[in-house]
Amino acid sequence: MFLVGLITWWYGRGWIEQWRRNGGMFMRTLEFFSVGQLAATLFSPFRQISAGNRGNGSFASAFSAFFDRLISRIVGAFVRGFTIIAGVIVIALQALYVAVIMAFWWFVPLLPLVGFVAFMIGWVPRG
Amino acid sequence: MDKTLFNWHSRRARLARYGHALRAWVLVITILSAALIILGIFALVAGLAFGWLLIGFAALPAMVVQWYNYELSALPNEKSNSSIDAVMDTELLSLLSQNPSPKELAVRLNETNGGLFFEVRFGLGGGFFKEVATDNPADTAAIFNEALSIASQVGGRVSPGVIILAMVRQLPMKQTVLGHLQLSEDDLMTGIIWYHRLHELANKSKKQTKQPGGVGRDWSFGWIPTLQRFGVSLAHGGTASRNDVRTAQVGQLIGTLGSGGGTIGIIGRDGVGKTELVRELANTLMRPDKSVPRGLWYQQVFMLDASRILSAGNERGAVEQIVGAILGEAYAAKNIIVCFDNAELFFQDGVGSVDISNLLTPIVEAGRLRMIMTIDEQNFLRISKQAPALANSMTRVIVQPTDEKDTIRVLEDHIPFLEYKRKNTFMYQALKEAYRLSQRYVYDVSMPGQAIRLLEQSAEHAEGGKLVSARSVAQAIEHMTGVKTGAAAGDEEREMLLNLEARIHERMIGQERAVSVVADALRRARSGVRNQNRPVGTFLFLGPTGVGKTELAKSLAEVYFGGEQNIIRLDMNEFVSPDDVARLIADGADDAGSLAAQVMKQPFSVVLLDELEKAHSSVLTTLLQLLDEGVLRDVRGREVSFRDTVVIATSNAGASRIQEYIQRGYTLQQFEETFINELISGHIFHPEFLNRFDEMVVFSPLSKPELLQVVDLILKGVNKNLAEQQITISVTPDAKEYLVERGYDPRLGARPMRRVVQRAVESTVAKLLLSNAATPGSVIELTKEQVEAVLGPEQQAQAIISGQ
Repeated sequence: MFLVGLITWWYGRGWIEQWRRNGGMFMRTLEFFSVGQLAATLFSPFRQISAGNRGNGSFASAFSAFFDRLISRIVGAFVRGFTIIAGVIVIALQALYVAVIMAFWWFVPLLPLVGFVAFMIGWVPRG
Repeated sequence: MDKTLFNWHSRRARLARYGHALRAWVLVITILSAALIILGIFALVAGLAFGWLLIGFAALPAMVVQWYNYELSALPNEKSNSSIDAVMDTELLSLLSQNPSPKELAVRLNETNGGLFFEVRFGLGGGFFKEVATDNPADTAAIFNEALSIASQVGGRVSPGVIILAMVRQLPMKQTVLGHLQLSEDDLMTGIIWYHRLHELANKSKKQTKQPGGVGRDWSFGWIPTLQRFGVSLAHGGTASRNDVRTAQVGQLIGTLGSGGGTIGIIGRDGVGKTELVRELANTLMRPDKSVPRGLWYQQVFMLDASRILSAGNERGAVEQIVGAILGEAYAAKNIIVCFDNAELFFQDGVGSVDISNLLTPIVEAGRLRMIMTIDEQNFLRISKQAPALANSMTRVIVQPTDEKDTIRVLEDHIPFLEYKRKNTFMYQALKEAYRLSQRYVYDVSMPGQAIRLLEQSAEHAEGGKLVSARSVAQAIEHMTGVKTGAAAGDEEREMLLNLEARIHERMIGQERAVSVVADALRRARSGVRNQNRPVGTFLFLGPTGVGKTELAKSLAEVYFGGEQNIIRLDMNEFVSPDDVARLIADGADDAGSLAAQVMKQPFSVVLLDELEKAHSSVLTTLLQLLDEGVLRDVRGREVSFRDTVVIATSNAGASRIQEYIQRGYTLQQFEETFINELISGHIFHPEFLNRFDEMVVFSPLSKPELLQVVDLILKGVNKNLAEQQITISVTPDAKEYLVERGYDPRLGARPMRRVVQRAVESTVAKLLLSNAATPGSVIELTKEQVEAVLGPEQQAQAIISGQ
């Protein structure tokens, strides 16, 4: 009875629950990297280091403020770009992991049988 | 049992039992699975095909663990099924047999978290029901039916609390049980909702992400080094208060912030939760739902630390400079809402405060920066007067004190923090008592802060070192104020109350009726049958001087209120003009001697209003509410409770009439009513004022035998003073009569008696001691001649009487 219950759950509600949990994990990763937001603000000044500094009106100070902002934007673009790339890689890997897990899920109950067959065959990997 | 009511064989019930059976083994099974895989790998590396078998079979325990974690540990309710097994909490369902009896239910309740929650928090659970429940499984159906009906009011869930309430409803003596525990069915319902909420909060916290909004959330916003130095971000602080208590105000804050910039003034009394409201806002903005405008998502609320700013700004203008820099950063950053907590500190010069309204007013008026200022009600009025433009530029959000229901809900959410800090457990009854008593005795703070403050104090009085009960709260109040809050409990106190008249008569003679009405009032108060919304007793003592009116008040203070220092005495001849009303209700900070301030400090006392007839009518009108409802509103609008005081007013009005009645041979009982009517018709007191007193007692002049007893009483006191010299004085009967004769004055009553007796006795003893006629251990008997020698002729006695 217990075993029947386990197998029934595994291929029914268990499978759905696994999807739900994987989906939740995936969404959290998406939110963590917030790739869309990073892309939208790719060239915004990073932490707006000089955002408030409008200079004193002279050409030198205006140029200095412009230069500061430019540096800030470059730093921002670099940090965000790097994070976007890292995020895309992690998300892709996670998607792959989810796909593997979800596919592997179907074969788990069969593993005892597979193990038994492999044992009977007697093959072992040689280094 | 009817299967449509409880189906032990249902899938959910079966799964619950699987879960229960597995609970203790989950860790072992997990380790077994991991061990099989590791051993299998080792075996394969060692060239043993047996390893495949181990790895393959490791899948089975791994699947079981997965099943337990994903489903069996907390089975969801089955909405489609109407039987109780479909909606009962798994932890209880898993423990039940096929035909559970009420007694079995009771036993099982104590094995569940929900059951223990009620056992500890309410003092009602399996332990009690085990003793009273029947063994008959047929009786369980009624409980389950009742539980399903209760569950329909709390989201359809049958938790252990629901079963407990259902079992209470089946009890034939449920009112007695609930009364004994100071609970009602509504309280148990509140407990069920409380437990469900804690459960939900625990589940919710598991799912929350640590960095809402993502890793790059704040990268586009400004760098805020000064703000970080002088403020603290509330974004991740969390909050102890309940969202549903201040939902409207949080919504108002979000609406105002969402519609543009500007400054919001959160105005309310101390303790209403202004700061907590800002924390809730910060929390909501950090974990926004769809009701929050997109522009406010992940905005950070920074609370400025006033003390840090003020200590850093030693030089003139430095504070303005720091605040200017902070606000400049906040404006440039674009994701900051600046909060000035206790903003009044920035609008007044003084110790620990500075006036920078010149800097803040234009910023507030411009309305470009999002700011929140929490301000005390009184201070806001002051700021409005001082800088109307500033006050008018703010959007005001008024925070009112919470009512009982909301206060309890706030306390429910607050106590886990308190319990963690104090390592105590608070009972639900303690929360209710904290609300009730703090409302009456804790001043200067409003609800829910009022109750929280008392609850924190109550932790010191935990029973058995751990459990904070209603009694602990009462003890905390008694410790803080000296008030006796509950009914008389100890044998000693019961004995004292029953013999109160005798105790009072140990220090005052005669006036049996007055003593008896006062004693009755106290007995009513301490047995819990009095009206709780009035003073313990209000009495008007009428009679000539020196008959014991004030003495009775003093005796009462000493015998019952713990000492003569617990008497608050006001000479009403100092309240003869309408302006004197202000002195009755003045704030303690301005006049520590005002009636309101004294009672606020010492609520458990005798209030003695001497010579009441001399007070101005405006003063008497002010006292009406005090006599009627037991409260006096002070100059700051706070209700000062007189509900634990005995109010005694004394008056000499009509004293000559009393003497006249006595001389004409009337007894007190014969003329008392007529006399009071004369006072009313003579316009000395208004009838509506006299009607406010519980009792009006006329004191008759003391008779000769009573005066002799007064002499004995005074001699007792003198002997007490001479105890150090080990000398005892006795006075012959004729000397006593002589003392009465000389000590009694028709105008002053027995008042000069003490002076006369003391002078006569002490002078004689002094002479005897100096002449070595009296030695330690001797008993001196004073004769009439000796007393006469001291008091001398009539004239000398009169001089002593008049205090010369």
